[in-house]
Amino acid sequence: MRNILFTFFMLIFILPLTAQEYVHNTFKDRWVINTFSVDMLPKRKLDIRITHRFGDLAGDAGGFQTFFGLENAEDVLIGFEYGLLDNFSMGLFRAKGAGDLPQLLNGTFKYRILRQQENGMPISLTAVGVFTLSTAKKQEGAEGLVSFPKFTHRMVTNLQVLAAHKYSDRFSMQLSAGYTHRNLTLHNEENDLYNLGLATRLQFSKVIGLIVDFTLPVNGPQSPFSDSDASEAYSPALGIGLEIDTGGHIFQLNLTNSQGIMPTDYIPYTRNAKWSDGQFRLGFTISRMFNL
Amino acid sequence: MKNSLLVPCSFILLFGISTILPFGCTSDQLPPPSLEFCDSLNTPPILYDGNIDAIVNTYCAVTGCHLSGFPDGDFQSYAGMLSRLDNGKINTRVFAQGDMPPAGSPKMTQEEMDQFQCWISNNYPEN
Repeated sequence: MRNILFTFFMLIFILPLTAQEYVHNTFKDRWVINTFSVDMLPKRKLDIRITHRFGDLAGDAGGFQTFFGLENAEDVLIGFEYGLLDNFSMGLFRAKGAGDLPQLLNGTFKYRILRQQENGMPISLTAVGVFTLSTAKKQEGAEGLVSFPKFTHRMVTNLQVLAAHKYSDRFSMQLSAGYTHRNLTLHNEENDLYNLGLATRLQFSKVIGLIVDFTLPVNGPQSPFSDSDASEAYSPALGIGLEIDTGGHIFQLNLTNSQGIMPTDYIPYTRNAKWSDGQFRLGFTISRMFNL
Repeated sequence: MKNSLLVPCSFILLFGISTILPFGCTSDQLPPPSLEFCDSLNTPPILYDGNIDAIVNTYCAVTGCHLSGFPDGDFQSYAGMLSRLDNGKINTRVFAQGDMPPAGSPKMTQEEMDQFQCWISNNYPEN
């Protein structure tokens, strides 16, 4: 009888504890390809990252002449992210910029709202904010965005909510919704853009996995649902990549049609990026974690 | 374990937000590009042969830049420029972003910029 009671009370205490067991590594990295992932940087860890997008692999601007785009750099990004708390991190990144706004300084913050549990919470939910400032020199009288009539016209912000579920060590899926606000746009363009996103991971082994990431703008000429003439030039952003975890480094090699790296860049400006015209490119990311 | 960077980083975040907030959020759009002046400039139409080729060979197809083998396009001929005219890259870099020709290189005169811009807006005829 005592044994039965003992076992019963142990179960009462242990079961809730097992329900607290959080799921780890829904994705291996804090970014998928273009979008962010729900995963957070642990407290006191510094993640340094270099991302590169090459030129068009095929089509008029690609092919053997440019060695399949490897001789061009559409966008480059270098920066770091720091885990202030287990559920809050901040980052600072510098990007060349591939859209109409060049020379971008980007601040990011990431906050984990919910975390998937083994026997409890079914999803992980994370909010991400990106704040971009163009440091390009103001061109008086220019007709493009760099005329910056006001200082605030250099700024673009992006907010995203990411929800993901890890089905197994081999498969995870993430849905996202985002909002991008540009303080200044060209004539007849939308300052506020909304988008949906989908990302997925298929792990082949402990080391290598396949990642796919899709961003769908839902308004403005950027959206495939738009019937304006301008929407011919735009395409939604799709990325497919291989992710390699070598212990200390996460190395990613991908193919994507988008040129810009930051969401404030690629969501409004993925133009001339048609897969059927060979306007997609190789890209890579190297990231390394340090303890601080 | 106390995170010794938490306080300074939170301060930076708050400082950043309080600096940015006064600048605020705007929803502005640039006025439409005033290309009405192109109507008079394009009579007779500006052509690559004899007009634009001279401009490009002076400011673009120069040593270290858009010559044979240059990854971002050999602009010594109309054919060499065509793909980047079709995809709008030349228009974006020269007029929207304004970073071509790059800083440190000779800049086109206003008259040359107008001719180049009006030629592009008129679908860049070769001859």
